[in-house]
Amino acid sequence: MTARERSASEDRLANRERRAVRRIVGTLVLVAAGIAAFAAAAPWLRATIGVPMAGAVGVAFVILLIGYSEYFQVSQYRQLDEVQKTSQTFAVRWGASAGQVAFLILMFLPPAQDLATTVVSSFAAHGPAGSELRTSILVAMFLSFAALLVLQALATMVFGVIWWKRQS
Amino acid sequence: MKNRLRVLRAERNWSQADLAERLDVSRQSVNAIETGKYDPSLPLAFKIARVFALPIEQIFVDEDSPAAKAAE
Repeated sequence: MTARERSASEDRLANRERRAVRRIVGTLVLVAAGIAAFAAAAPWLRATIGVPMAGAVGVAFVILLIGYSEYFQVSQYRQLDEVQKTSQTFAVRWGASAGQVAFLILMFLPPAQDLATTVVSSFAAHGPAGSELRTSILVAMFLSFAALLVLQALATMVFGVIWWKRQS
Repeated sequence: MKNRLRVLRAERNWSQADLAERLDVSRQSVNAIETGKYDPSLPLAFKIARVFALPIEQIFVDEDSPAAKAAE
């Protein structure tokens, strides 16, 4: 095999990897833009269709996001080869548990508690008058759910790297 | 399980990327198989055998087999 042929196949592989990364980054940007757009439109939605309907639209939006992320995950998984699938299975298996443990530990750390209190209080202050407690609880539940998902995603990435780095 | 992928690849002057392309897997996957971190499935092992035009047992060595133990 000549050096030129070897370089061509390395280029093709590198291009394939770049395309996959671009697709993932593009999807993340799209999702982030969707979330930002919804957050920006939330006050207008509340004023136009009322708080309960705006809440229902918010829930529908979150379900749509979860559905799309599931679809994207499955389509990405189908493109992996068997070694990558094994790595992914290992990472998801341990990442989910590690994320839960990290979340529990974080809940008991005073700086994390302070940050959560500050965020929830600031949201509650902007909620409807007279329902600060209810708003605080709802925001705390939503933030906990989001934090758990983020920690599980991070832990999954870490365990993916561990799988590839581990020695036989 | 041991394998002779690195030797066979070197004999043909193929890079890991070349072999990865022929097997339709990632370069990292070829590395994982080559270094023994991952034992390929039967379909992938047959594909590797086809690519090298060799029987599977000339590429992969079952370390627990009596023949391999005797060779040691």
